[in-house]
Amino acid sequence: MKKFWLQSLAITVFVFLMLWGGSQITDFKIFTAFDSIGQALKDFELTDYAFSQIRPDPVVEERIVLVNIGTLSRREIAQEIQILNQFKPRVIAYDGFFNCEGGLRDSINCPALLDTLGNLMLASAIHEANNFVLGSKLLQSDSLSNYDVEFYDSLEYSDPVFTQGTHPGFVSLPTNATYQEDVKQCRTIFPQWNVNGERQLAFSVQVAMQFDSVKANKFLARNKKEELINFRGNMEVMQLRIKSEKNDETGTSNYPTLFYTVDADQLLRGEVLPELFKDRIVLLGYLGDYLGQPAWEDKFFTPLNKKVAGRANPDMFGLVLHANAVTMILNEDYIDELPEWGQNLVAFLVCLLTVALFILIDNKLPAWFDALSVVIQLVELLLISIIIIQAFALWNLKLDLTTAIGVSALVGPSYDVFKSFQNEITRRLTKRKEQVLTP
Amino acid sequence: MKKGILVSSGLVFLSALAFGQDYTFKVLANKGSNEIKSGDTWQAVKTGASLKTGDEIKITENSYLGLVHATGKPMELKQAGSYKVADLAAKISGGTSVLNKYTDFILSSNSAEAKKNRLSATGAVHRGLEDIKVFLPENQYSGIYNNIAIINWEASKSGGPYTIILKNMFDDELMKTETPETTLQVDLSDPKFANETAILVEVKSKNDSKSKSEQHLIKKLSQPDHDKIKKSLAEITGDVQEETALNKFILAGFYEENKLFIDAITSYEQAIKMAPDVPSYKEAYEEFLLRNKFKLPK
Repeated sequence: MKKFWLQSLAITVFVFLMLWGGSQITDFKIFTAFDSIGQALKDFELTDYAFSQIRPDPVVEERIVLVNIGTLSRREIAQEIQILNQFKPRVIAYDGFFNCEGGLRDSINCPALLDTLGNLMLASAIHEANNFVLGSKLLQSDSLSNYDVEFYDSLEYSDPVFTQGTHPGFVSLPTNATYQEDVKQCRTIFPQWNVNGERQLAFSVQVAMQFDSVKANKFLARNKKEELINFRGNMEVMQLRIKSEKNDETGTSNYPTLFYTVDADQLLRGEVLPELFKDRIVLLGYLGDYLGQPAWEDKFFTPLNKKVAGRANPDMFGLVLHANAVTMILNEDYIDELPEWGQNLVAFLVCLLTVALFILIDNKLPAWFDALSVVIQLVELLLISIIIIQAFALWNLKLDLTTAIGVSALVGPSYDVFKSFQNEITRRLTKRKEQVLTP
Repeated sequence: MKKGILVSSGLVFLSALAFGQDYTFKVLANKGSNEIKSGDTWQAVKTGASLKTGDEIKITENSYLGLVHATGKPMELKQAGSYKVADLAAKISGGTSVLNKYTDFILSSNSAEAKKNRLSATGAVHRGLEDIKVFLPENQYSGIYNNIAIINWEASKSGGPYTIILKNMFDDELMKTETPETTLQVDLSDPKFANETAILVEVKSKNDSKSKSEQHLIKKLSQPDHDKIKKSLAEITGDVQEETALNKFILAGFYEENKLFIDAITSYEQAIKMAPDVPSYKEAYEEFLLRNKFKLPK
């Protein structure tokens, strides 16, 4: 029995060595240029199926109202904020900046400065608000940007006339984009970041902090550098003029509208009820030039996208992404992850038990070994995939079982290679029958 | 039997929980000129408004209405037509289990690839088949405060005479008229339009059936909005009460500021009619049309 488990352990170690060797070879990236499938699936995660297809139906988040700013000028945004102030929301948060990018302050690069009265109106409207959260942006200083590091040592704010009395929250989101207009995929937020010794909160965390500080602090107490957003729903208004298209599924996600949403002109024209805003969180930001415009500006790919891999349309405006993060914090509906040691332990156990099963089959049913080992591997891969999706859908637990999947895929060939080596070594170390002296 | 009673009691309890609130649905998001009938009157839908079981909703063409049920479940309406709130509430289901969703997902994943109609998109941009350009705003700015609307248009190819058709939201024809001119004055206080809050306008060339305009909307302001404008207007009407071209010009500015573009057009037209020799009114009108993209620069 001891020999059996020793043999299983030895093969398991060999499988892990094979996996390590394989990962070292792929690190050279010699196949990447022709790896179209790998590139298409680069951003794919199995849990995306759970997000986009099979989670329990979410309910509408009634504490948040999204207000579109469309293409409004600063003067018109000031009017929006003045109207909102009258409705007494608990928090107003603006997902953007009132400055000119790059610090350019001439009338060509920053025409918004020409409307002096509009700027004063805006500053006044912001100051009159009770709790106003204004976006800021994490940046790298010039010297730091020479290195490709995930470290941020400076912040971009709105002009000082607007920031007075507001609460800053950085709107920067971890994505694979190089610049704002690039293709953006987002799954996570940095809840907080230390900039030159001062703690800065993410936009969504700052909003939650102003609404319910107990819950926001509880979220921060998890002390994770990066938190997965528990996406619940989107805001998708589509305007289709051709009647036959209305029967088709045209949305990019399965949970189209889960927040109260007001268009820019609806608020300015008073086509809303004041009680909609009272004691709620109002998130002001861009949701298209008008609701229903198929705009791609400030739009992200999220795990809610119906297409989980390959080319697709972006599905969620940045403002809705922040709203999802706020909802997660207020509902204490976080996503937990399996620690790295847990991932390795699961992979080790899966591998050891599979190898043990292979040895048993090899000893008892040698004629069936090849067929059964392949079937077992396929079943194992399918089971692991189902467990990953179900654990996420049912318990908000993200199981990163990539190593377990890797060893499951490699265990069959590795077993054969190991056995061949073992047989050859045994043959060489053992005297042939004719060489053995017999009396 | 006992099991049946328990299930029935449970359902009654759940319904009581759901409907214990004083609404069946609330409006989550609204796009277009949708209306709600509460009691005997139809009124414009407002975001956040509550819908009760006896109410009725009218969704207009090219509109969208997002609703949230008392249980927190969302619902979307995109197809034009009338819907009874009670019928919509009956469609709210108890939700699908994760296992069912998983099965549906596995079974349906292949069908998504089997799309037969692959020609839904074109390699072109839409500039409209219509060569008649009507100087009316986009639907979201189609509100009108006064009863008089002056509709102007420009035809790039076809000439007059023109047929102008005015319809209600259910495509019923309210008025059809012909004119050799490129302008038409419509009086919304006419009994034909008295019960309509939204009117669709289309201009066609009588000689060329392919030559027509896009459909434009003229929407009467809701009573609260009308009162609000009336109040603001009262603040300046002391100065502009007299029917002069200058006063009409000032009023045009007021309407434009309040995004009542149809009223602004009417005021500009009236100002030009009163003082045809003054070029500055015509210039200001031209600038207004260009500024608000009713007309493209040549």
